[in-house]
Amino acid sequence: MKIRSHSLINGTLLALTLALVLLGVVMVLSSSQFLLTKGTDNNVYQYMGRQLMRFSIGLACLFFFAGLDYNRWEKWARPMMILNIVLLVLVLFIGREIKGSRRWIMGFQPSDMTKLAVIFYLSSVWAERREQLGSFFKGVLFPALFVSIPLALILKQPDHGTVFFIGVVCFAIWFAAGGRLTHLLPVAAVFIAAVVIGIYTKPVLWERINAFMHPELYMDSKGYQIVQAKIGFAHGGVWGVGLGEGVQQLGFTPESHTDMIFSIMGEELGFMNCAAVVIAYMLMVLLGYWVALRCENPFGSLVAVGCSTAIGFQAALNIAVVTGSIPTTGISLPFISYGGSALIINMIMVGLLISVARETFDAPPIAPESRRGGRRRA
Amino acid sequence: MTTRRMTVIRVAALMLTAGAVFSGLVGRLYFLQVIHADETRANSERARVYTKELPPVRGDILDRNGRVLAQNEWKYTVMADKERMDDPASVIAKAGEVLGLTQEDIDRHVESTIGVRGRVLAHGVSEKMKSKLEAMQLPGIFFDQTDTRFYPEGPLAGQMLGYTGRDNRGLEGLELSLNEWLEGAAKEIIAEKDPRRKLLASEDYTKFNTQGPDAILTIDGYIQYIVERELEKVLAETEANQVNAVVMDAETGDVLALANAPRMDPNHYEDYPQLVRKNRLIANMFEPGSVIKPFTVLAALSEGRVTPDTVFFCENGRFYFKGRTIRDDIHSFGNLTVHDILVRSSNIGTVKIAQSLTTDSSDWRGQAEILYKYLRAFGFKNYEKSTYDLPGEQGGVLRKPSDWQPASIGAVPYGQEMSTNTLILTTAYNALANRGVFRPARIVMGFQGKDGVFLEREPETPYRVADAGVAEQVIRMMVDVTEDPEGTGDKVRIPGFHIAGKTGTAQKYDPETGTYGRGMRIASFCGFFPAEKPRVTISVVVDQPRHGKYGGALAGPVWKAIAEEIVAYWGMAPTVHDDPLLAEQAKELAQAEAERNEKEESAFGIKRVLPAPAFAFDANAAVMPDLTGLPLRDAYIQLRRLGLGVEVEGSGKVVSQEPIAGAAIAAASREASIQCEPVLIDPTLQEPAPWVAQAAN
Repeated sequence: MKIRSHSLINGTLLALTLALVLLGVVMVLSSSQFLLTKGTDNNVYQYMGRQLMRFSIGLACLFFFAGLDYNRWEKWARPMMILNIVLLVLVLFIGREIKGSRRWIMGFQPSDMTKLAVIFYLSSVWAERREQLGSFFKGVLFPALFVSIPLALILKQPDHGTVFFIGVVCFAIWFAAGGRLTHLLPVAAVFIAAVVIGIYTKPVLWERINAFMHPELYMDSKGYQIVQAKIGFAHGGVWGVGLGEGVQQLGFTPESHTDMIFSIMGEELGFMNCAAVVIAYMLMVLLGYWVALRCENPFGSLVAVGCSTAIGFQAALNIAVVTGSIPTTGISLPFISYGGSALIINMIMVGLLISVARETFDAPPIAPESRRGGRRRA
Repeated sequence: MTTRRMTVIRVAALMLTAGAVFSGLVGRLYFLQVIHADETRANSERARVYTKELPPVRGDILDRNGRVLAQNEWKYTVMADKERMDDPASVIAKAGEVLGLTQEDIDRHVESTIGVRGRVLAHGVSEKMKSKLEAMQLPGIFFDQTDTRFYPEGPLAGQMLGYTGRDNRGLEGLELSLNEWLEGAAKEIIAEKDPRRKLLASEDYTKFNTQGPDAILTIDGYIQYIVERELEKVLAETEANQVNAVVMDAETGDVLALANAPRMDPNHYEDYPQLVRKNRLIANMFEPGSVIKPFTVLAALSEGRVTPDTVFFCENGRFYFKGRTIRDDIHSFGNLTVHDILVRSSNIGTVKIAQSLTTDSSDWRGQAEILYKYLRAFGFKNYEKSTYDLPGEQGGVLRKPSDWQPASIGAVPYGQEMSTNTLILTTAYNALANRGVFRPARIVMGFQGKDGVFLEREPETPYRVADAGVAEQVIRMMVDVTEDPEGTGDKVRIPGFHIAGKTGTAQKYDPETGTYGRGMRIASFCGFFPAEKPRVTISVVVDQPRHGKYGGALAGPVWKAIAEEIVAYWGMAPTVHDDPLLAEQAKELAQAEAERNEKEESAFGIKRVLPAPAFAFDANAAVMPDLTGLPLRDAYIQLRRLGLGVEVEGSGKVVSQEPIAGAAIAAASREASIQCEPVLIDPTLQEPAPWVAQAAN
């Protein structure tokens, strides 16, 4: 199979993204109803409205990044890292505290930006100096140390799930960039050991593991949402009970419109639709990887790997948690979960994938100023 | 290997991984939603859908007119779920302030680690306080409801109704004896609840409540009130130990009032000493004394041994009989007829009558057997209950003739060496009133299910215990007890009615000294009226008065006051039109009318009405007024002022009248009739209570 036209890939990517985001908007509407009954504001569309607003901003960003030549980000990678570190430091001091973590600054999570910054940074480092990858200290340790600064700051918020997630994305880029397995495997072992020790020493995390192993013992706290989510899936069955008809969202499933939104989908839309959603993610990721595989520009290839992995791993992680396959991580479902900056960042990543694909499949990248010319050609 | 080639291989590896992971997730979903779904669903039904045994709502207790005597009130338990509070200390402090908790209690609730998810802050919280708390929108504060018993009329019929414990089960009185009826059956419901422990909004919780049937008593709340008021009055005057009375519908045997004084408010039963909580009318027995004499006379008349005019020598007040001295208290008599023996209440004469029961006056055993037979027939008990509706009854003592001493025939005929209670006594008098037909007392008229089905407790079949003619003779003598100037009950007169009654002044057996105590007496008056065709039988017993001594003087006025109120309440037309008292009363009433104090309020907020004010026909007011909507007694008094005889149907408010409003009242027809329907306290009950209609049939 050889895909000749970038438009098929880009059209598919765009269609999948729009489908998932719009599905998300509907699910947010459906799953936020009960939440609203708690407050005095009875505008049932308030959550959906906000999500739609973010969607429009995200869409603008998507087209902006898709239209720009991604190569120009290569030189912005380091400044972005530094800006991100500044923001992460700021958030520790002036960020809004929600449920014991400081993650937010003016409705924006700098840790979402970290994903993008790290992808750009590592892609640019390893695309420029691919040959140095053979040397552990020069090629690996220095970038790793630099990347660990924002990660350490995120750990401080604390947001363990995101650190773990970004860590895995880094490994994927390193792996795709051609990191030596003799480096990769020991570092992966150290990473896993760090995760295990981290979990073991943080009672909050340790409890999540226990709750995963014995959810019935933790019905009052951590195990509760997973048990409720499983009940939601079972209740939904093959075809679901219908939009808005789910009982689980009536406060049974905590965070029903954010991290646990997939379980509400499970109940209301059933297995057929949920499987379709999973396959949609898979398709996006495979398309992204296909772009990376076909892209002969090392930077573009690595950015595509980073973005695909970020979207795919996030989706897989969330769905695995919600279906009770792995312990709780606190990662939201890309495009669908209610959430501010995450949606925009994810749509930017799709924009980047499209941009890489354009260049890869025989379409010269178009700078915004040359757009008019492009249109004239068409 | 070129870099390019490596990239291809590695990215392909990532693709494979991603494909595997997502396929795995689809598989997982398939397992959760298809393969394992039924099992999870079954388990989740248990987590989310729960079976709750709804305790049934206890049935109410109502009087014969539908007036609520006992009902349920929702009370709430306030609980705190500290895990749902951001700041438990301040939330509990705020709630505690409303609930009136002490600082100590609040601290204890805040600090305690027990019951973190549902700590009980207060029990028995009222609806009002609950709404106040709800309005504050405190997070983590929730409520559980329970029903508790409430007696809207306060102490009215308190001892008879009894009370319930915290679990709302009957502990005393009717609440205890009717517990199984009132309680109803528990029902299991399957309900879905959300995690805030509220049932899902789609279900209305209360509609699942099962309800026990309401018990409808034969008691008339208004008569009960009158009786209790009068008893309290005499209790205060005489400082008696206790006073009690029974009012019985003579025609049916229905108990209309059964009252004790001092009274007891079952809403606060804990505040009363055990003795007052008990329904002493039922639980205590006493030696009845002279009120038994009519039955001795009746026995002798029935056996054909005497006539009312048979003369006995009354030994001038002292009669040495088998080692005892029998005395006649106030007067000493020489020769007296049977009639006079009863009217003047001679103990010695009564013993002589009892001795005449057999041809051989020394055959005490034979006399005992005959007397025993008659007393048993009239319902006097020997350690047996007369009703199962009132718990704790001591039915009295009436030994078998084989257990009698030779001297017993010198005691039992006038009510010593035996004991009874006021209900048994009233039932016996009621049998006399019915010319020898015994009607067992009825207290519970039936049960009214919430589905509208009325289950009547059929009155037991009446049966004849004495010859009607003989009973008539005894009644004539008893009328003279109140009307003969020599009679012991001459204070008990109501203008326009013949009253048949008998006084009783029993010495009280003192268990401490084992003798009849000096100055310890029980004064009583039992009787019924109108004597020609009795409608009501009343007994009043004053136990151990500190002031006053004799039944006629003590219990008689109470009896009279109760009877007068019933005359007014029922609108009874006089049966003795030539009674000179009537004319006298009319004169007095005309004078008193101007000063009449109508302000005294009854227990039910209806103006108390004194006996029918005038019987003189007012020729000027010749038009029938519109009475519709008026309370029965107001309508009644208006008609009486017009000089009309009134026939009343039902009770409560007037719904129709005859003649109609505006009709000229012809001097010839001096009768008017009004139909009334009960006024129900619950305004949601649009229709008259079905038992009222059924009971009327």
